[in-house]
Amino acid sequence: MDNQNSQDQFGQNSANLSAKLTSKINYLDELKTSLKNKDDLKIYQLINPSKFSEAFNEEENQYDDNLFKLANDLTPELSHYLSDKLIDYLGEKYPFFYYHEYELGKFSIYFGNWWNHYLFGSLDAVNVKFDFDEQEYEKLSKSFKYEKEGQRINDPLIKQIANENEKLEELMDGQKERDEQKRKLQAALKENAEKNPMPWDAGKVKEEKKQLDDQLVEIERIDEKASQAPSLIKENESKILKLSKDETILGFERQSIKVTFGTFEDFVDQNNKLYESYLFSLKNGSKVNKGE
Amino acid sequence: MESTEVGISQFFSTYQNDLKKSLDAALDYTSLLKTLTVTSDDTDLISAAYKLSKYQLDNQNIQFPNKFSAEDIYLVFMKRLLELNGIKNKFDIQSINKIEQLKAYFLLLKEDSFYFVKSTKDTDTYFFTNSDAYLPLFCLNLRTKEIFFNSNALVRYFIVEKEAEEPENIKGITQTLIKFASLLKEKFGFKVDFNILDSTNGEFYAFAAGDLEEPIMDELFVKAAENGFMLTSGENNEAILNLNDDIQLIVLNQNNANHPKWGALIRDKNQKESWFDLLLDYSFIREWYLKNQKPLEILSNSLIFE
Repeated sequence: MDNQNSQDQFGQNSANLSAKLTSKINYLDELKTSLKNKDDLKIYQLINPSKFSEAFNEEENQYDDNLFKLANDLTPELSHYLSDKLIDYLGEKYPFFYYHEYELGKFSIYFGNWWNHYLFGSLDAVNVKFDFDEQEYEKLSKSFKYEKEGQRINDPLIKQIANENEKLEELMDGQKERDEQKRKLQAALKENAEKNPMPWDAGKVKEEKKQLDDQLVEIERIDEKASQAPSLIKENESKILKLSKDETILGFERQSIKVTFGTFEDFVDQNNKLYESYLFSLKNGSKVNKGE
Repeated sequence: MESTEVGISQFFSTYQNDLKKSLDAALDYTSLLKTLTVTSDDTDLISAAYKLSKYQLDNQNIQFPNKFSAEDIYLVFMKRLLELNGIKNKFDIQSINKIEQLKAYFLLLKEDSFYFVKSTKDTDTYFFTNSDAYLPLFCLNLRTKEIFFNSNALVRYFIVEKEAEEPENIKGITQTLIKFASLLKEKFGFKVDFNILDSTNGEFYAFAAGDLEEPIMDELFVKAAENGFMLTSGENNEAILNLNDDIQLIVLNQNNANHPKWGALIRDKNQKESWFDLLLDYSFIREWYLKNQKPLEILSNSLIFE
């Protein structure tokens, strides 16, 4: 009896195992066939079955989510393959993004084709998802907020540096006047030194010399600052240029989004449902193709 | 005694011959001058001009105190060549009452006068320059058949000094200069360097610096945007600026990163726009160029002009 039972158990186990193996083989087989048929929609379903059924409001999930583990190590190749149609689609929907495959199946996103465009993140072709660079994305989002208030992010800083430069220039312009002052002070000091005061006036003369010395030191301190002004001004100019460049790029980015989506919020919405939109378009596209 | 008499008559005879030769030369000179001023044949004109510019009229027997210099001859040649080829009412020589240095002017810019100055380095090279500031706009050599424009002087004179002039007037003047050089090229096979006046699409305007620092391009990017133009980056890392009327300015490194050779190309359908025109037409490009003139300077033949 026992023997019989355990044999049954073994049999059951083998049958289970066999069924599981079959389902794995089938899975890989289906993946292979879909690839052969260039059925990207099916491939997306096989990669992430539950996300797929959620997108299409399907109640039942045909495939086990874990099965993709079998092909997980092929992600770079799959990503490379899937990017072909996906980037075509994105080219239409997001005409301002440019992609660069820096390594098999890995894509960086550049915002715009303007000079010095920014690296804006990466494209996850397998999950149909943008992974934006947080810093750049935040900056852009903030820049939209500022725009609503009629402001630009870098303006306060640009203004501050410009003011600084104005002061530095004033400092340089004042050189002639300071030289004249110095000349007068030195003359006064000379006069002071030549004085031969009565003992009761000695303190006064000494006090006068100290005041003159202090004034001279103060002017020399300003001279010293003025002598550094040209290089500081140059440094500041390059800071302003950098900030203006950044602001110009943000302007182009905002403009691109407004032209394509209307508002930043609509852009965000579209990003959030990118997976669904793309898969729907694949579905509709394949229908159209079959209908032909 | 007898031998001395023979000696004297010999001397007189030689003297007479020399004198006659000089007078013949003077006659020849007048006939060349006539050709220079009245001929309607281009080839006769240039040949007369060249001969006159080299003419040694004076010798130990006869000196002509009043004569035109080679510089004057070059100026007359320029005016006459233009005139013979239908360029009238553009460029003329100031009237004179006695023999003196000739000066010319452009009808679009009557207040300034121009003349030729002989090079100190080469006996047959003459610079065409404005008479107030010595800015040699081009050099002309009738012997080696060469005419080279000088970018630095063209910018300093027309773009900086004549900033208040109407760009169209300035273009009218440079068109006359371009026409003159083109005539020399087409009719007599002169070698021409139009430099920044060259409007053919393939002309690579090489920057002096070779390498270009990033902030310089950033500056162009920002300035262009402020003026409603977008500096874009092309597939080969070149910077492309789309301007009005389908004019494209391309800034690129023609060599590689290790041995950079930065410069600019201008593409337009009609091949009419030159670097010089861009500087006149777009104030932001002009500001950018003048601010960064040291690295951005378009090179000319430095052997001749420096």
